[in-house]
Parts: sequence; structure tokens; C-alpha cells
Amino acid sequence: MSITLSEKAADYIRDYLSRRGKGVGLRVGVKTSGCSGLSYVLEYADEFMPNDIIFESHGVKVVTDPKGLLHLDGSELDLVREGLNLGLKFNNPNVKDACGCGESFTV
Amino acid sequence: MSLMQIAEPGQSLAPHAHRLAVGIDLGTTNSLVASVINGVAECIPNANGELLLPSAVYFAADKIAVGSAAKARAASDPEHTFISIKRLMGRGLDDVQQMKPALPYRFDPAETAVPRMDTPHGWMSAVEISAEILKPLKARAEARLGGELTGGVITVPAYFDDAQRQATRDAARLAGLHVLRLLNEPTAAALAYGLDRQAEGLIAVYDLGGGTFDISILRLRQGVFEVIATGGDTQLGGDDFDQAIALWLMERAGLGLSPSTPLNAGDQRHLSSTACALKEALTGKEQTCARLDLHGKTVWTGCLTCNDFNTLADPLIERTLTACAQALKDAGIQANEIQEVVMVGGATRVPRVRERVSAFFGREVLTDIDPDKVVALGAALQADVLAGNKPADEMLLLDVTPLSLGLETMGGLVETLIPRNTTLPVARAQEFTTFKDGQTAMSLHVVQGERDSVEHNRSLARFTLRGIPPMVAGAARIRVTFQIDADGLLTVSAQEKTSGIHAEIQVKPSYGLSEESVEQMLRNAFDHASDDVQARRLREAKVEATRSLEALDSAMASDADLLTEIDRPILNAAQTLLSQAIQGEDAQAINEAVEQLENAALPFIQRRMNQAVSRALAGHTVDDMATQMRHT
Amino acid sequence: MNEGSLSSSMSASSVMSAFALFGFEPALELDESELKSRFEHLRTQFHPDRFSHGSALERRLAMQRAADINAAYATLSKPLLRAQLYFELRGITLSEARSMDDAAFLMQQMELREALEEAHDTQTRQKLRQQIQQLWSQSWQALCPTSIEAQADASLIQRELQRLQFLQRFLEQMD
Repeated sequence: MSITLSEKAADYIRDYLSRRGKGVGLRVGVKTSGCSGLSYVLEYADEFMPNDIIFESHGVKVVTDPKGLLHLDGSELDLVREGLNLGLKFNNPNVKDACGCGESFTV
Repeated sequence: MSLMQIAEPGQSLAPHAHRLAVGIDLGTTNSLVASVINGVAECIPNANGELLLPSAVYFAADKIAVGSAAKARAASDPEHTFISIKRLMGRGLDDVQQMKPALPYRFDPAETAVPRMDTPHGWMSAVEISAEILKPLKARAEARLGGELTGGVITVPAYFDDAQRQATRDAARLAGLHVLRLLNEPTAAALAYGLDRQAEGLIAVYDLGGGTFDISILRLRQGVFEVIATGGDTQLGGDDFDQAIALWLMERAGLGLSPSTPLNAGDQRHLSSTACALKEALTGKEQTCARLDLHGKTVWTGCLTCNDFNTLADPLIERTLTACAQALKDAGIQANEIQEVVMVGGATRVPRVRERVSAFFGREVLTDIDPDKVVALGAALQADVLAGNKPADEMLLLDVTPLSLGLETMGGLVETLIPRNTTLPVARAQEFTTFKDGQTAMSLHVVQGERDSVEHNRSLARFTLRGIPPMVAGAARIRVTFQIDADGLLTVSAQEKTSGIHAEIQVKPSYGLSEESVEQMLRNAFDHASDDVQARRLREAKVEATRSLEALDSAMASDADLLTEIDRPILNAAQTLLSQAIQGEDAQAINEAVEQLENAALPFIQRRMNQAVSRALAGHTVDDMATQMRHT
Repeated sequence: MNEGSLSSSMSASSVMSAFALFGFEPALELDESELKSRFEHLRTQFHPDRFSHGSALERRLAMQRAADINAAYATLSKPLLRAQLYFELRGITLSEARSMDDAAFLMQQMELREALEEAHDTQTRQKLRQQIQQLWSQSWQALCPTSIEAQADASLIQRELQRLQFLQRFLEQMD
């Protein structure tokens, strides 16, 4: 079981963590909302919670909770460039159907 | 899709809720765009990785070039290459024709309020040219952020008057950018600086840009950025240092101040760029040498020493320090009470400037923040809050009006209505009466500035109040309210009090585009572009209409007790009308229905505001109430 | 400039007096630190930035309300303006047309002004300032609720307000 980062994604997140000046890692998860049921949560983690599950990928700590792991297990977070646009994208094997925008999905 | 950004803990928004907003520093020499990405404010480069977009626009017969490509044409086709166009914003033909050095453009003699210049694309005003600078910045940001922008915060010199601010706003409109706020440049810098270091206390922001100088004194306390005084000079900047060197070069070359063969526009530009290059090369050295070619031959070779330069620069720096002293006096503080001096603007790289400013405030100035980027970064932070991505509780800006607002009285004197450095927003009412029996109209002249006589101040607008009910002289009581909003823009309203009649106001801005001209320009712009102006209008109207309906629904639900028997049927009718209009395709009809709804809702919304104030003061649910108000 | 906003801006500003806006009963004396803290609280809560995603109407009203709050503070924080508003609410106004018929007071003012012109050293000016401040306190005391109830005399109130106006101007000119 794991959630991983691509190497490029890890460098990118580390860069922003250092510019932000605080944070122990990246929190990923899901919440119920959006056009297709669930949507991703992508936040800075300033601390770890009791139920947290922590992975380390290319030197960056990736934190999630049990619900997040259920829906995100096996996912890789990648850094994607589309023209000038640069940002993160989940490659999630659990997704059955996603809304056109990719921000929400069903499993 | 827009790719995902990292949010602050607990602030992941619902999908699609993250609104894309930018801060734009529309500078005299260079412009930049920045946005908050992954919670960090950063400047957005173009495809070549360049952050600074030179504020230059070149009109060729078949295309419009912006930035470095345009700047490169300055020497070869000066008539159609517009640089430092910001200096022309909100200025009349008279002002513009007196500028030094003389501008190489051909002006339309028929248009004096908003000077228009000849280009292969027809007559162009400074507003339209500035819009051309904003367009690629907007496009750059949309490509980086992956979607259409909700809006932007555009920075202006704190010392900009109403006409200059209005011109900036119009330029954004022409570029298709919704303006969330016009933000004063030094305030933006203070924001970027203060948030970065969690600074507290009194700070001074010394902002010497290419064409303008601003000084602002701020008090920072727990995320509140309060401007307590501001001052400056909109006609003084780094360009003036170049100009001083250029004059010095002319003198050394034996050409004097008025050479027998007048310089053509190309030579003029060459002279300016030689001067600028000398200034930049001198930084950190004792002297720097160069050669000047004019009229196709070398007219001078020689060196500029530090001492020469200081002699040229000191009178200019002196002017900035006088403004600093005035701002300190207005703020009621001593120079030694200032805890930090933040330097902003490319011209603060000049060592002599740093040296003199340090001496004036009696402390080392802060130069470790990139003076080119800090304004855009601050604007991006404010845009993020105004777009709703970040709670406003974390930071709040309280700005002031830079110039006194007054009315012309008998004998060409000015009566001050709103003194400078008054916290914004501000509204002041003044009562007038008629001086003739049966008088039904009255003219007012609004000016901005600090001098006692009208002719020495900036004329903002002339108003005619019409529809005053005929009465004996002195019986009418006309209350005129002047409001300056958080953008520093003025609106005026009037009412005759004895009859309750609202006097009609005809506004004639002294310098600036009328609403109709902006509309016409928008139409022209879209005739040539693929973007469909009608479709965008309709979309915007629907968004605003839906927002109004939702806001009213939730207000009616949460404060039903404040609704009267009279309110309900009127509100319901207006709601139905608007809901129907939204289904249609007529933007005009939707906007009219919104206006009707808002007029109908006005008494109710005001009662809610009053109640919110009382509750806020009652202490117990203070923050909840304002929060509730905001979210409904 | 939008004519559509004409009516609303007027009615908005006449809804509450400066006292009511800050939750005070009209009074001559206010606790200055309490006034300041209420002001800072209100202006933070009602700043237009906090309504930037409300409807256009709310944004406009918030703008006006914020302007009202700023204006109310400007009035309440200055004793003379506060006193004028206080008596205005009780129906006593100081119309500009009213001429000063307070001969003794005027004479005294003229003498003090002459003294000011001749006062070049700090010490003399300081003494003069104290004298003016003393006169100010006298007039202010005369306006106190207890004295007014005893006399309930509009012309007396107008006289004292007018004196305060003169003294205020004098003090401003000394700065």
C-alpha cells in the first residue's frame, strides 16, 4: 500500500514547502463533493494527526488518513506541464469515472 | 483542466471554487503579473522565462508588438513606438505637450481631454495603449494558471489622482480584465514585505519608479496594514535621472540646451538610451565612459564620474526627501520612529538614492527584496483575498486618499471637502442653496490638490445639478455627497432636501473617457477579435444576477423578522422578474432586472446592516455576525 | 459615475447618527479608548474587502457603511464636533449665519490674538496655550448636562458652542 510522488513532483513540492517557510509535508485525501462524488484534497501538512498514515517519496513526506488511503492507494502524484500551465495531477488507478475537469471522481 | 494547486491546511476548496486572480504591476518602464500559486505569491514569466514585460507598444501596419520587440523599435520608428505611456494616463493634451523631453508622437489636435496619438491603427489614447500592455500579461497568467481569470488587482502610484485611476481602470476593462481593486503601489509593497516577515510597527515605503515617486508611511499590526500618510510626485522618476544625464551629455558635446540642428526623434531616443546606459554602468564604479553618436557622427567621447552624477541626481533626490518630510509631518511622527524603510522601484538601485534616503531616516534601508517584483507580489496577495481564496481576516488594508478633494468657490478659491490622508472609503456631504429666485440648476467644479486656488489644482469634473424645484433664493437645500471608494475613485450624488427630489447630475470628467467612448472602444476592439463581446457580457450578467438572487434568498431566510409586509410582495415580484430574465439571452434585460431587485431590496438590506452593526457592538457574537453578513 | 446610486447613498448615511452607529447613547463625554476600540473593531468588520464576493448591492452598501463608520469616528473623536452633533440631536444647531454678538468674548479673543503675534519664545506661547485651554474648559463645563438642565437655554448653548469654535480655531492656528 502506498501513495507516491514522481521525482519531478517531489522536487516541486519541496521547493514550495521551503518557499512557504513551514510544513512537515504534503497532505492528500478525498472529500465528498464535486460533480462526480469525491474530490481530491491537496494541502500542506503542518503537523501529523493521530490516525495519519505517512509515506515518504523522494524525500517528501506524504500524509493521508484511512479514508484517503482507501481511495488513493496506488496513486502517483505527478507534475504536469500543459503549455505554460504547471501543476499537480493524480494518476489514480481506483477512479472509475471522472468529471471533465479531473478535480472530482467516483470510485 | 486546471492542474491542482496545494492549499493551506483546512482550506481545500470545493472543486472549481478556487478562483484565478492576479496582481498586475502596470509600470512606467516595465510591467509584471503575479499570482498566488500553491499558497505562495510568485511572478509569472512568459514562454521565454522573462518576468519583466517592457511597457512598450509598437504599432506596425499589420500588427501590434508589445514588450522587448516593441522597445527595439523605439529608435527606428519612434513615432509609433509608445514607451512610458503611463505618464500620459489621465492627462490632458496641454499637460502632455509640455512634457520634457518632447514626445515624438503626433497628437490629434481636435481631442484635448483625452489626447489621441496617430498610429497605423488609427488614433490611439494612452488608455488603449495601456490595454495592449495588459493583454499579454493576462494571457500569460491564464496560460500558467490554466483557466479564465476571475479578476485582477492592478497597482497604481499612491499619488495618482482620480483621472489617472479611472484611466487605469478603463485600460483594464478594454483588456477584458475585471478589476478587483486598484491598489496603491507602496501599499502593495508593504503587504508583500510585511506578510513575508510578519513585521509590526511603523514602516516607510520609498517607491521611486521609472516615472513616478511615492512615499507611504504605514502602521502594521496583527495583519492590519494601515496607511497613515502618503505623498509623492507623479511627474518624477528614474527617467528624470536619465534626462538629467542626457542634458549633461548635450552640454558636454557642445550642443547646448537648444542645439542649432534640433534632434530628430531617433537621435532623441538614442541620446536617452545612452544616458540610461551610463547611469546603469556607473553603479558600483567611480566613473564610466561612453561615446555619443548624433546626426550620424560621433559628437562626444568621455566619462561620467560619480561626483558628476551625484551633482545631477541630488536636486531630484532632494525633491523626494521633501515629500518624505511632508508625509512624516502628515503622519505626525518623527523620522526616527520609523522601524524599517522599504525601497521599491528600479530607480532605488541607484547607490546615491539609497545613501541619501538612509541618511534622511537615520537607518539602513532595506534592499534585499527585489524592487522590481515586490509590488506585483503584494498585488497578487490582495487579489487572492478579494477573489475569496483566502479569508480576509488574515490581512486587511486600510488606505488613504493621497490628495485633498475640494470644490471651487467664489473667486476661484478652493474649499476643501475631504483632506488628504483621510482613511478610505470616505463620504462627505455638503449643503448648497440657490442664490436666485426660481433657480433650477447649479454648477459645481470638483478639484483635487493641495493649493488654495483652483488653477493650481487638478480639475476632476464639472457637475450640473438640474431639476431643483423652483423656490425663492436660499430656500432650496441641496445636499451633495462625495464618496471616494476603496479604489480611490470618486462618485457624487445629490438630493434637494426640502422636497426630497433627487437632483439629476451631469458629469463631465475634465480628463478621461466618457462611458460612451469606453463602450465604443470595446466594440471596436471586438470587431477585430474572435472573442465574442456579447457572449461575455451575457455570461457576466448571469453570474452577477445569480449572485444577487442567492445573496437575497439567504438574507431573507436568515433575517425574516426584518422583512415588512410591504417588502415581501415587492421583493417576490422582483425576484421572479430576474429569474425569468436569467433564462433569456438579453444581458441588458438581466442587468435592468438586477437593478430593480436591488432597489427593492435596499431598505431590507440596510436594516440587516444596521442590525449587524448593533450586534457587532453588543460584543457577544461580534465576529459571527460580520461573518454571517459576508456569506449571505 | 452612476446615477442609479443617487438615492441609496443618501438614505444610507442618514439612517444612524454617529453615536448610534457606535452603540453609544448621545453624550458630551465619551470614553476615548472605548471609542477607539469600537471604531477599530467596526472598521475591520465592515471593510469593503470583506464583502468583495457579495452581491453588487451588498458591496455598495458595505462601502457606504464603511464610509459612515470612518466619518462617525471623525466626528466623535473631536470634542467640538461631538458636542455640535449632540446638541443638533436635541434640536439646537449653530447656523453659520448666526453672528457673534458676544462682545466681551470677542474683545478677549482679539487681545489673545495680539498676544500670540507678539509671542515669539516657546515659554510665552506655552502660557498662552494654557490660557486658551482654560477658556475651553470653562465653556465645555458650561455645556455639561447638569448646568444645561438647570437652564435649558438654547441661546446659552449656542453661545458656548460658538466660543468653543473660536477657541478651537485659535488652538489649530497655534500648531
